[in-house]
Amino acid sequence: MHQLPLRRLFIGGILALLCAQLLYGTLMLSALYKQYQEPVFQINGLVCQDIAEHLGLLVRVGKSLRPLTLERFLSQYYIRTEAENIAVTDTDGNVIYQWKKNDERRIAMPPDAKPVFGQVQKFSTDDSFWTVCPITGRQGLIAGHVFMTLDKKRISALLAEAARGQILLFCGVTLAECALLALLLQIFAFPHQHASPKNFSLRLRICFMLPLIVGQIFILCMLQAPLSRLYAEEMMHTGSQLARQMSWDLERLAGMGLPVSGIHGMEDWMTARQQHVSTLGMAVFDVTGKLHAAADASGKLSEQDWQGRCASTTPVTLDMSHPADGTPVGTIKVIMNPATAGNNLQSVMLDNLTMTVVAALFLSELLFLLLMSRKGATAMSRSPEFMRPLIFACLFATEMSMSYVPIRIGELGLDLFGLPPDVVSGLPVSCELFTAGLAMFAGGFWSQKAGWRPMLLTGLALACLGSCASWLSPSALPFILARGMSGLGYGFINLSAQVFVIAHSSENSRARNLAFMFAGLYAGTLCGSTMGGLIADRLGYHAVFPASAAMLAIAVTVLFRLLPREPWQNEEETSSRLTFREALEFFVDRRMGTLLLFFIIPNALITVCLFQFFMPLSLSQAGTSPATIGRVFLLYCVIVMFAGPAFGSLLDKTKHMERPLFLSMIIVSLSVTALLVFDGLVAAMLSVALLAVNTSIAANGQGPYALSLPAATRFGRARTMGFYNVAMRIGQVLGPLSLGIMMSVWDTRTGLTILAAGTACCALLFIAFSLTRSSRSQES
Amino acid sequence: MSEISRNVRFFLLVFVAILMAGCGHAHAEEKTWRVLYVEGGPFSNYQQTLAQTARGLEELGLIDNGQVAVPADTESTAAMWQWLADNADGRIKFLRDGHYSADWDTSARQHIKEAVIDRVRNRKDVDMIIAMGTWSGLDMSSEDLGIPVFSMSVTDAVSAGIVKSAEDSGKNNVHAQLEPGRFRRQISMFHEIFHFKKLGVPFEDTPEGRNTAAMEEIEQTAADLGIELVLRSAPLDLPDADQAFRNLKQCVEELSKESDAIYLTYTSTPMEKIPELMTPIIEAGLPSFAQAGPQLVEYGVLMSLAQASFADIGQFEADAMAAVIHGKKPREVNQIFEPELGLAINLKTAMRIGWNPPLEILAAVDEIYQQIPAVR
Repeated sequence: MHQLPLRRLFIGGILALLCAQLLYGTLMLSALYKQYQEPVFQINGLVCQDIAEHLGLLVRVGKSLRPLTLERFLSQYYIRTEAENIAVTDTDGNVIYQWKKNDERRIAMPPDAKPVFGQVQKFSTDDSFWTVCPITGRQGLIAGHVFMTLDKKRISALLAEAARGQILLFCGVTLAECALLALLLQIFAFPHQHASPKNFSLRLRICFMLPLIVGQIFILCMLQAPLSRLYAEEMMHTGSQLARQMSWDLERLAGMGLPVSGIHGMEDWMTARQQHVSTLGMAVFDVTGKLHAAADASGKLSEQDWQGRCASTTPVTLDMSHPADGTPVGTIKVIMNPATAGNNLQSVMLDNLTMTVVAALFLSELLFLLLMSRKGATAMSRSPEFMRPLIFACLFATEMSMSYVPIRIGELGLDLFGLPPDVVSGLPVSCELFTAGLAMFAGGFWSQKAGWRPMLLTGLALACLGSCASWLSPSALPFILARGMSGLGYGFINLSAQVFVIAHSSENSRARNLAFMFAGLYAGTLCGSTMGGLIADRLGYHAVFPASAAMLAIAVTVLFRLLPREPWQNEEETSSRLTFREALEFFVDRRMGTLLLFFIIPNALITVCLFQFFMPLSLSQAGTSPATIGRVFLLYCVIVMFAGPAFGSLLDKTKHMERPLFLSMIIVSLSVTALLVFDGLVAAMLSVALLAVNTSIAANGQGPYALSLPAATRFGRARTMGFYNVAMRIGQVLGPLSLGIMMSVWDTRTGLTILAAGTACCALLFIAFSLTRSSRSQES
Repeated sequence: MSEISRNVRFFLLVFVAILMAGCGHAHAEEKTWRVLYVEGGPFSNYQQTLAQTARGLEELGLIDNGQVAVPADTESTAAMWQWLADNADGRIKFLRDGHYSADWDTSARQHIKEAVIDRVRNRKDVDMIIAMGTWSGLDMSSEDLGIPVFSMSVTDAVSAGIVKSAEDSGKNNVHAQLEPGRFRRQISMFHEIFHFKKLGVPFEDTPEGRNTAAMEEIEQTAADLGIELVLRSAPLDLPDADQAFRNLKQCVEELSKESDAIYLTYTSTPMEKIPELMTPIIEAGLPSFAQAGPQLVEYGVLMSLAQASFADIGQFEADAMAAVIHGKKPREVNQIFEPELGLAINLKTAMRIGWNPPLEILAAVDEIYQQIPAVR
């Protein structure tokens, strides 16, 4: 009998490993695709910028962007670039001139265009990759745009050729992982199947995780050499392109009779063009070989400086010749920064490690499901741990599209009832948060009467419809309403998961079980947003909404058929109707009021304020890359996922829940203080880590604590859960508003100091009112 | 029989009538336009405009040969006109006795005006007039001659009163070539590079002089950019060219002491005298800008931004004439001309005034001159 479950475990494990490996592989190949694409965009970006700067110069000296002028100017780029088309538009997007005479009279940059460097941006359409750069006229005003296109098929074919080697490596490693898994299971897991469930479970997890992690580290190591080569080649190409662009102007002037030695002010030209390229310097030599001008991104370089830099790195050299007779007129040299290749490699490695973590989390969730399936469907559905894979799948589907909501509303148009565009831009998210809170409020009453199952299925259906509607919305208002519907769905899903866990947990295990469920929630959030990014990269961000809807539709269909119907008994004495008196009694109860006012609301406020707004904003302003900001978010989720259950177990054992909750508020205060004491990424990481510890305690402790209070017994458990979730939402909504007010009234440091002090005060008030009441009740 | 003969006579009459109408129509299709030329006096710009217009007409197939040479030793267009009269056959006939030049003499100007008006109204042997310059443009457009008048090579035909506006000439038979904002662009660019506070402008303070120099546009641009104009006026359009030059030079010498930069307006000064005119400016180390165009930069002015070549002008004028020949009224033809602008710099002058043009400026330059001809 034991062999069947073991065989199922083995096959299920292999499938889970393959799923995780597939996720990792897709992420990795997508990342590599981008890495191979980057040099193409870099080179084209340089050309696009060169054209835009020359046209801007023409505008600034008084020439206008006439079709004839542009035709003459752009004709020289036929041999200078591989672009299929170059178009110049005016400020309204109307095409003034383009190589390809087609029907397009207007070209506009879509809202999801991504930066390449400086002002150069890129985007893709069905057939082409586009690079675009604004033309700067007088007084810094934009006079138009330059668009360059590359044929997507041609570029994709080149990239596919380059990636073929990596695909073979990946397939080989995957097979090796499966073999290693089988070996480990045979040696370390199956012989110990009769050991304690906890011990066996731990061994199984190690057996599954080890091949995945080892395989991915192996792939990372194997990628190092080809990527290093790629970056070295990319640097050479970039240096050559820079030199070429300068040579075009100098050779033209040589053709007009002006030698290199007669031209001044080259340093400023060179400095401007090195701003967004990783170089150590550029230099121009006259026909006799004498250094005429040298500069780096900061300014002029002396001959000594130049010689010093040449000693450490060989420059890229380009000889210039007279356009008429080909006689030498001078030389240009560019020294590329060798550290760039190392930095790029490091960045790729970190990205891959991030993907490894995401894939491991994905595998971990699949493993939970697999291990639980050994118990059988009925037993599984009654276990509080059952909700974890469900909530993982639900959040996976809903979170896929979250990052693209601002982009979508931007595309649909920000003109709504005369409101400022910034306000309209934030309305979908605000509406979603608001309706989520509303759903949690209403769900508290609904679940009390009907249980968690209908609420979960309804929530999934609403989320699915919301995603569909988001995809199909033709304008801003329907989109905002669609997000509201998604928010309703999310609220019902979230609350139903908590109701399920509480209903299937004893008082001694609520915190731990909630933590376990929340770990699945965070894992789903992480994996979902990663998958959303993957889909957006490959298919465009428009595809994430229908993909999310499709996943939710599958989830609701499967769960509707397979989720066991368990009879719901409302164990509480309260009626489903809420009277005003009851509500007032609930809120004015000192301990409950203290919990809501001095703990839940401020805790949620500061967590959202810091984690979702202040830190991403300040890190972005400090020049931190989006990938690094994403890793900070990852750190938060990973800490919550692993520390949460551990703290949950500890919380279940404590008799005075208010003390760890007080401690968590102090930790929040310390988290804010970390931002004041330290700077940059260190401050952010420390602050985020402390916030994550706070969440691990607060998210898992506040619910059981609230439910343990006498007011909850009188008011109703489900309603209480609804109300404290709503309080959390209020705090989350107030978070960004508070941040905005603080930033406008005070400077950053003052605002953070007030925040830290305020948090500490709230903590003291919370413990004072809570302990006072509990100690009095102990004495009595 | 009589009835038959009546019918035959009737049909014959109809046939002849149709034939005559057809002939008349064919005659209208093949009408040769007799063209007359009027100018205020010799000027190199007039030579270039005439030459390029002729080339443009040849491109359009309206004349067989438009390759008239521009004489090197004179600014007169008389010889050019004679050549065109002898060689440029086609839909346009350049009348051999149709060249009128006042040689910058005001009394001669009046006589010419009366003679041309009389010829058009009484002799009726002219179908089209080319009026070169402000004087001619004013004279030929002031009377309703009933034949197309093409006003060419005028600094600002609206300010001069030749046409009502850039969009509408206001007169059915008048067409002018206009380039709105040309001088604004020049001064803006000059100011953007050198950021001067005082701009010296020599000009003749008469209605024609102000129009020739486009003073209204210069004053408006200076006001908009916060530049103080330092103006010096003297009689510059004189029969005695030497006296005119001495007057101009006197203005330039005074302006060189009181300004930060010099904007040299249209002048009839011969090119070979420009280096002498530039001497006080260069010695004062001041940047200078030529309103007329790159040809002055060749002779020592620091820079200019103007039409890159007269070819664009010529083509524009030829297109306008063609439109009228093909049935449009001159008033219906577009007057706004947007030429290809060329930036010219004299590096020798730059060096002598102590300015090193940066690569950013040089990258936009279309013509570089590295010498200043010797003062004669």
